Amino acid sequence: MKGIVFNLLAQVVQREYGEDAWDAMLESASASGVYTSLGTYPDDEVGRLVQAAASMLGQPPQAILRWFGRKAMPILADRFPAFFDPHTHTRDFVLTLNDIVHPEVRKLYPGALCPVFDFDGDDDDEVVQMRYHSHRKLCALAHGFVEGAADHYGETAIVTEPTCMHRGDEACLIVMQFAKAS
Amino acid sequence: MSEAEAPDPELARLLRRLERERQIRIEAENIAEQGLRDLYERQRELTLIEALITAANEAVDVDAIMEFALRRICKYSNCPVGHVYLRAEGPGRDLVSTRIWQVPRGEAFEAFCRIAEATRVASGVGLAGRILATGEATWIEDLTDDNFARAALARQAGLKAAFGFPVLIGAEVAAVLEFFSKRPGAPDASMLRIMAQVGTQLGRVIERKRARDHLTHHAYHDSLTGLPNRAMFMERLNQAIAAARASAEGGRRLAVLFLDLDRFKTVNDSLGHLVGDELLVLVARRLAACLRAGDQASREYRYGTERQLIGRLGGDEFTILLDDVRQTQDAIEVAERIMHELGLPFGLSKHEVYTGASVGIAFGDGSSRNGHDIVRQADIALYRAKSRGRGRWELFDDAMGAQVAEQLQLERDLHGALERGELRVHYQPIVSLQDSRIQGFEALVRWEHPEKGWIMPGDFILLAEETGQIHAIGQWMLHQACSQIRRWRESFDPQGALYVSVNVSAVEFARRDFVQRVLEALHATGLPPQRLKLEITESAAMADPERTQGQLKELQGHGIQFSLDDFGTGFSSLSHLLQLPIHTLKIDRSFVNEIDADGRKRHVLDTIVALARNLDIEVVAEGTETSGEVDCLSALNCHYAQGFYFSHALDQKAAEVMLSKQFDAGAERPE
Repeated sequence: MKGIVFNLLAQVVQREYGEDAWDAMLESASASGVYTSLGTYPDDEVGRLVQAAASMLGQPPQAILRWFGRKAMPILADRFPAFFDPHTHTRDFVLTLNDIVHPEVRKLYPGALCPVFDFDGDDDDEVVQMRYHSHRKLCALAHGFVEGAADHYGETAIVTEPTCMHRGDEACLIVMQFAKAS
Repeated sequence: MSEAEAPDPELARLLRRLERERQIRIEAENIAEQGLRDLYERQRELTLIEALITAANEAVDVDAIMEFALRRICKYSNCPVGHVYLRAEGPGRDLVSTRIWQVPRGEAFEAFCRIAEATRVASGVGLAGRILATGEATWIEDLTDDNFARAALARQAGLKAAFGFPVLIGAEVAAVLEFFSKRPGAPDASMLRIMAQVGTQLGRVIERKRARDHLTHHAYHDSLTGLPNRAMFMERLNQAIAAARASAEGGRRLAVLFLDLDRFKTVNDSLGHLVGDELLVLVARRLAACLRAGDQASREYRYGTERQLIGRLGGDEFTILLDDVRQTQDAIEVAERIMHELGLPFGLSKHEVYTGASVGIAFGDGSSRNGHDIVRQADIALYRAKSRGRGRWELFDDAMGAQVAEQLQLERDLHGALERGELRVHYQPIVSLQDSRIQGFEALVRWEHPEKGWIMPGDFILLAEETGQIHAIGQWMLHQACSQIRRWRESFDPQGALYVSVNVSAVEFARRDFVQRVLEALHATGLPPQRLKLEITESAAMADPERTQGQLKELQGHGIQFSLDDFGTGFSSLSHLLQLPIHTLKIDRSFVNEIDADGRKRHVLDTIVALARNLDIEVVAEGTETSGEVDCLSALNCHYAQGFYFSHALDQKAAEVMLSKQFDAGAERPE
């Protein structure tokens, strides 16, 4: 996992719960905390950190990931406005992930293993179906990112996951629909 | 104190965070440094590749680009020694040293180089051989461990490891580059990737060179025989003239031999162009062998030697340049050797063919204007050689030029002579030596030239053969003669055996439709086939004996008979000749002339007549001029004769006078 994800997590935790909470999480997860955005770190270190947060907050890890994704989005929008600015709707932004956002990510962070999403449905469909398949099984993080993106565009996202690798399915199907926030 | 020593938890936390931040910085620096190192390496790779691509694009000389590549790669890979092998031509296509090295001075290195240069590397053997076999980059991590052939010398030179890669053109290994390093170890993956690219770039240069060589070769060589063509021959000839000019007082001489093959047209027409081509290839080889054998002093090339060059100007015309000729006799000896060699039979894939050569020789020196003049003079001498009877050489002299000009005028005049009605058929009686009665006539062509008067066939038939007019002339003759004899038979000898003998040129005989044309003439004129004899010469018959036999047998089936003309003048084997369905032998005038005074001639003729009688072949003696000769021939039991003694060749009217005398008188004096 690329260091930027760890840095995002640190930023979100420090912002929402303070420096001490991050220290405690590192300690609880036996993680070094030495992360730079250019480095690459073991995948399971993310898992341990999420697990630590889950224990500390008394919530399931999936909820922690979803929360993290949603809260990380404003930071990303702040750092990489070029990805967000061309769009006015979440749907359009989400559909650029494979072709624009992830290629740029790979340029910036050589060796990044970005997931490839399979999108289903016509351009006009209101509902976007996104198939996610990765041994990291971070569908909840994707879910959170989608919600965070909707927040950015002033929309609400209705996200369901009819199939999920965590429930023994082969891949996760993330179905989303967006509406203008009332 | 305890309070002072007790760590402040807040401070401890801050210190931990500080330490973490410090670690993050170091980590970030390490990553950045690694990135810079990688960037530097990529940059070096790019610089190398870029330099080699640029050099490869501009390179004309393969050796130069190889030297450049060695220098750059040695520097890039920190190897003190680099070396290039090139694929040898010929069987096995081993690797041989180009003697192109990148190497420091020193005895140990010199020994190392010497052994590499002296050894041909077969596929699979050693580092370079493995690269040749696999077409892939290969390395030896520790030269002392591997059974590396030059291990001991490498050790002395302090070399520990080696790697090499192929220069590829497609899948073909065209060359191998090898490098030796003072540090043991394997090259890294990116290094091998770069070397693969370098190999491809260098391959492009070799490929371009080959394409260029190929084009140059095509521009300067005849594609059939591989001999230098006219362009190259003239270039080398002009160079030789320039060299002669630069020699002491321009005194160095050179000779040009111009030769063409006897009866080549016949071979081509009768056996087809493929056979003709096959013959030309063998002639080219024989010429080359012939020259090499005679000039062992100088370096040999595929065709000729450094002092001799063979060219094919086109068709069956070959030229030979002899540079630095000491005396006239040297050129003549070469000409004679060539004529002898080309006179031997050629075993082609399906035929055995006899040809031969006539050679014209001209000399040049520093005062020669250009190569073209010398070649033209040699051509004129050749023309003379051929008109004097082929299978001989002639040296050019100035008088020849004028005579040849006259010949060329004649050639122009001959064109259209038939259409203008300038050709006539004359008839020379062939008489029985028993009773001096006319048995038949030999039809002979005459040319009534508007300015020069009567021209004999010996002076223009060869020309007609050269130009191809012989076909029209021959066909016309056959029709004339057949229809004349048919009329004379009707007038004088309706039931008799009066016949006409018509000469057939080797060129006509070689035509595929020859049989057809003869039958057509008989059909058109109404002459019974039994009353026609065709005269062929030994040399025409022997150009392709098998085919001759087939044609003669076919015509014989229709009742036509054959005379073998000029018997005794050729070199053909008697056994071959006698396999042909010959009805008549015509003894050449050279055997008949003064036979009454020459016992040896008499003996020869006696033998021939006896042989002919045994084989049931008639004998006609040609060129009888005196009563002594006639008496002698009668005494030898020769059957028939023709010649001035009996009659010249006569025009139609004169012949009719003779015929009427014989047949009017004959009616009263039956034999």
